[in-house]
Amino acid sequence: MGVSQDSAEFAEFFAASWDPCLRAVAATTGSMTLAEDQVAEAFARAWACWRKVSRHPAPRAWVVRTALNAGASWWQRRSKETALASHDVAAAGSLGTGLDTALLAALRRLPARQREVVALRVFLDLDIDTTARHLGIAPGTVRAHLSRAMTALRGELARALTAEIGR
Amino acid sequence: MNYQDHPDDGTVTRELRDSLSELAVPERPPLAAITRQGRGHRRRRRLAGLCVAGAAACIALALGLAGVFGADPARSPGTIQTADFTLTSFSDGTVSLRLGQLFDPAALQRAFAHDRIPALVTTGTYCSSSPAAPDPTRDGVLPGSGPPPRGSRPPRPPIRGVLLTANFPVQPSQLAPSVDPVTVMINPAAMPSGTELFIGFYDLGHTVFVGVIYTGSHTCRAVQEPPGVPWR
Repeated sequence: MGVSQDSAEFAEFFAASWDPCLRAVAATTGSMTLAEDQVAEAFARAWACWRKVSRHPAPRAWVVRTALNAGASWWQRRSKETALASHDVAAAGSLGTGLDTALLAALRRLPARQREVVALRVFLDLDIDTTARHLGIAPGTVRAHLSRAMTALRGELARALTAEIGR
Repeated sequence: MNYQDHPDDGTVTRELRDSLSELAVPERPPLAAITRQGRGHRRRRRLAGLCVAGAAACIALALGLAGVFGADPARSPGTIQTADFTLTSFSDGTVSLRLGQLFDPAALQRAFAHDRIPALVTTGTYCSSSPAAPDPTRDGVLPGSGPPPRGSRPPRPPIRGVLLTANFPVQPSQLAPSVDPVTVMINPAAMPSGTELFIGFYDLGHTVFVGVIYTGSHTCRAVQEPPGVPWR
């Protein structure tokens, strides 16, 4: 494969994948500003090893996971700026309103692995097996993480719906 | 949206996807900015390759170009330190790996590469060679990590490496000063030809496995815990 073809393929991938990847990372981390930096960094790394990433079964998942990993150390360094707990949600309120905010805030309170599974399985619509291969865990473990995440989010959604009806 | 007392998974999934689709995202950056950033990564990778060719030049380049490394682990002579780990090189060629947190295998693998120590670092995956590489606890690769005293654990399965267990945080919200770090000594000079370190992180049980595998002939499989954990 020639260099120009590689460049064209990456440009096409970048144009088509920026928005969905950024949304998935922003929803998972709770900060659009941080997500923008992390996703840009992930795309830069994807460009640097595009021949490998282009052969990946789910290049968007590669970008999202790379961005989330890049953000892991940020979460620690900038924990006060990142909405990981409910009292931080207001700081990241630009991500949504009302019900959306409640649900996304609940998502961000999930353990890291559950958030990753939701990001790949729900936001990027990967199937269970591809998600499992990408995360290096068993399909059953993906199902278990997803089930736990959904249980937590169901409870949050039910509370939000009840509050919405009550208003 | 219809009210449901107990929304099912499909409803939650739809709500999540709807929430996501309503997120306004900023305009994507110019492709040129991404490729410029990507070239920096390529330069660093090439530099790492050059470093294999000459240790002195490598140290000089690494120190001289420290600013080029951007967000990579902070470096000082003989030590690579991040929030997750500290890799210290000693004058006798040994290195110590002090693990405090376990979230960025790629950074740890880069740090080993920077010290010219071949290593494969993964999460949730166990890698092994067939035939198995020599036991690193017996041939000096992991000095001070010899086999356990007789009777301290049942003899099977014969794990070839060390298992480290501690109160590792496994999610960012749990990161706290109460981290219980562990340290392992590594003697790269004792590694048999054609082998590399294998370091696996496992959320379940907060466990790390350190072993040695043959670079060209190993297989990896997804596991929740490495072999030997039930005998802990």
